[in-house]
Amino acid sequence: MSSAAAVLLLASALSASGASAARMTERERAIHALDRLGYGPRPGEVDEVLASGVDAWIARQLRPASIPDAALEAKLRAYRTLSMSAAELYNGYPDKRSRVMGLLGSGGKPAEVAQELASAKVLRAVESERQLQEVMTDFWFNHFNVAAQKNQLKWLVSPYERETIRPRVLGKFRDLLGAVARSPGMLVYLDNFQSTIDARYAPAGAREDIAEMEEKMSSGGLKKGRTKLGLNENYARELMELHTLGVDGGYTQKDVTELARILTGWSLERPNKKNRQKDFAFKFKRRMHDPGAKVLLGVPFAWSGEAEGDKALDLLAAHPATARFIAAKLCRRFVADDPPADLIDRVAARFRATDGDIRATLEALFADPAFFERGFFRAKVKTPLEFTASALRATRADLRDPLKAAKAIGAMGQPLYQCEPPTGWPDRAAPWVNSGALLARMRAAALLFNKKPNAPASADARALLGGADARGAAAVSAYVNAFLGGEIGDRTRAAILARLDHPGMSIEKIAALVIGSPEFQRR
Amino acid sequence: MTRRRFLSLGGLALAGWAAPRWVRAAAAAARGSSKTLVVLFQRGAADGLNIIPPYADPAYRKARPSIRILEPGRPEGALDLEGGFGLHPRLAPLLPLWKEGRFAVVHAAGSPDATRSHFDAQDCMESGTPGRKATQDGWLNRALSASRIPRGPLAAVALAGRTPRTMAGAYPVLAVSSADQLRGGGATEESFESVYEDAVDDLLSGPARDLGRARKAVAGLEKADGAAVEAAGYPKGKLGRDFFEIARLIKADVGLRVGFLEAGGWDHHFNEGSTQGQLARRLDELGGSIAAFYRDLGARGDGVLLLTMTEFGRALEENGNGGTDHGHGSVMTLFGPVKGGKVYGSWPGLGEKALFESRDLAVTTDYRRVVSEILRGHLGLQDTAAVFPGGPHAPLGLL
Repeated sequence: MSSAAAVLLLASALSASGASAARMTERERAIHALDRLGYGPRPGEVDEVLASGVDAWIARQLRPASIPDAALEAKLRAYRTLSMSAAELYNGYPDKRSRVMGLLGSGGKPAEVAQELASAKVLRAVESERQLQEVMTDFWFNHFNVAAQKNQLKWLVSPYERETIRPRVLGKFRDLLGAVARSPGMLVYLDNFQSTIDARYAPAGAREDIAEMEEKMSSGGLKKGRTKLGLNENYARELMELHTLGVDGGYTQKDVTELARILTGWSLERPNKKNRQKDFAFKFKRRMHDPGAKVLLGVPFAWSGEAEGDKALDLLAAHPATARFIAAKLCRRFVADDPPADLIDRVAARFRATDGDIRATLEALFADPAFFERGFFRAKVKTPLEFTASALRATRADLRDPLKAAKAIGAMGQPLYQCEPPTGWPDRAAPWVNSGALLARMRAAALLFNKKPNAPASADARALLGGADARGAAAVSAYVNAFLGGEIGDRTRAAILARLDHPGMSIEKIAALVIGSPEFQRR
Repeated sequence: MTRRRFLSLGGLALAGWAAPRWVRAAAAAARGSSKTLVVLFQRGAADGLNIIPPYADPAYRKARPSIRILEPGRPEGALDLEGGFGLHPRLAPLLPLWKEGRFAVVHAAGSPDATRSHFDAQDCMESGTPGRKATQDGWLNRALSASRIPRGPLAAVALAGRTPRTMAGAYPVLAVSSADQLRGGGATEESFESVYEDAVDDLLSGPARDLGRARKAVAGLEKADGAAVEAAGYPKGKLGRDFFEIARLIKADVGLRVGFLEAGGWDHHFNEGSTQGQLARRLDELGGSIAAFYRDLGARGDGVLLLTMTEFGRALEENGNGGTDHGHGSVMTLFGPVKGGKVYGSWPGLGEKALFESRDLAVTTDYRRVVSEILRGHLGLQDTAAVFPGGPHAPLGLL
């Protein structure tokens, strides 16, 4: 026995949790890092990461600004809407109503905005060198989900990702939370822009003002019927349930109402020539704000207008329940559907100790021995986006039509930017595991290699052999090396080999079987 | 005669004079197994007030001067149902079902959630846990889990590109746009399935096996193109096609117990119209599809209950564009093995005081009561506490 092996044996004997705590091999660590911090390895990339060192690669991913990404940026320039302001999108891609009424010129259709964003998302996932940044943009967008099909979100969705989410994905949680709270996208998606002082809760002295405002709005408005002012609790509820404390975070219905009162007046302005408003923008509307005293989570709030909202965000961001909720979500994304409780505790502690520093929190997570426990290797089932992006990366496919690829992801059950509920897409295997979805993945794998001109992307099975013999076991091994970093279950390999003699088997079909294999559905 | 057959005949003979409990249970299970529930979700908030117009209510006439449905007997008037309620004339194909007692209405039905946002309301209605957004699964999936329906590749089918919220959850559900999607290919799919069969993957090999079984189960079906759908009497369009699909799966005895369909296009802010317009066109398709469905099913239709639902209704007053804005209460309709020919629910009226937030039809019947009764009475659930935690479960006497 070599001394290294003896040390390994000793280490595993000392490990408290025994077999499940076994460490991964260096090769598995490289595959794991590429699978978890990004959208999977490209051919040869596992060896590249091994050469530079897994930990060094992780450290670089945590500092995306240091990684050049010019090739991708050049490709993204083809999508004009990605850099347009909400107002430019609103004017350039008018909806049916505006077209019919002749209010706005005939530009593109509003649906094109989300389509370009979805195309760009696929391109970025496949081609960006800043893989962790793309994963985290997806993570935080999903955490603070908005759906492009709701009202003005069809224009706001793109600036929301670009200006609110993307610049802050590795920054401070409090900054991200605050940017989201003031973003036109979230204000519209969860209705806070129309939440106003409510006679049911406002101090008695304010009631006359409310009646007067209702009267004014009714007579001036275009809508028939009485205008009623009132609280809309939608955002306040989700802010605690989904964005910070978590559903079991210890708040009550009374806290929801109080937080909604605190946030009354957090509204927005739309582009308007009359008052020279150029873009959709946050605006605190003092008259909509409830001036009464409030108590949130036991903390009294005296009247201070807009500042009350910031104080509430401070309170929520620093709450221990928030640290635990965010840590649990990060661990679910990066480790396992049901991550170990002690790992969540350690990550939450780091989150609190660093005042919600996301980069520092991730550093702690990736450096934790539990992150590379062998039991977590390929423990997560890929979402349709992850499957598609990883397949295109693994095969160095020619992504001819990113929009078509995005639509295929939609057909597998994950229409990008169109997740209706504020929960975002689930990050557990069960909702994605469905026979119909599996069939769609198998067919997508077959389509990738069969050289049809109308396929969203095309891969060259022969070139991917890398000079290996195109027949039999050598071809299977070549594809397992290229797509799965050389790691596949013995029984899967045997099952693929057993199919080789079947009539009609081709090099393209062997490649497709590896992409469609159970191992490739996992990360 | 095989031993098994002899035994089963013996059991039946025994059941004739002194049926032990297990024999009755088995017989009930056998009867139960022929029952199918089909749910149609009308996405976009269908206008219950014009689909089943309360033509006798003066407030209805007053609020909708240009789009109301006229009284029965007047030109293009409502088809009279009962108690001052009528049927939109473009739903005339459904009148025979009403007269046969196979079509019931629950009026002023809906969700307890006050939201007028489509997505919030659908999310709430489909999760079945109002006020709790963190729920990941849907009520119909929880119902399947709570039922004794054996998990089969085609036991639960959603005709949709992805698993709809109502059907999402732990019980295996097949989501496909058409059974034909499962057909075709062959060798390629078999290769994949054989790889999964041998693989050690508890999570993925199950669905892969289901897929293989589902593909085998539908292998005998004829490929159905648009002409076949039309020949079977269904109207053109997605809805007719979907009903055709469900009917052919039922008739093929592939074990379908729960089907889920969705139809968009009910959000009529503009040109909703009365007997002409957007709503009328949508109802042509709906009425024609449902009538064709039960005609197509024949005697099998006695075991097939169809329930329609929508996230909320529309405001009482018509707006300035010949349409209606978002409202609250709407209608649910039931077809097949129900006590039909009746409008259920307590009618709140349309007077200003009776309206929800002074503008919409109120909800007097929580949709969870209607669904609960169907789940117990039609799908044989013991109780529906796990399906609608804390929700109202009291039956209306629909079955």
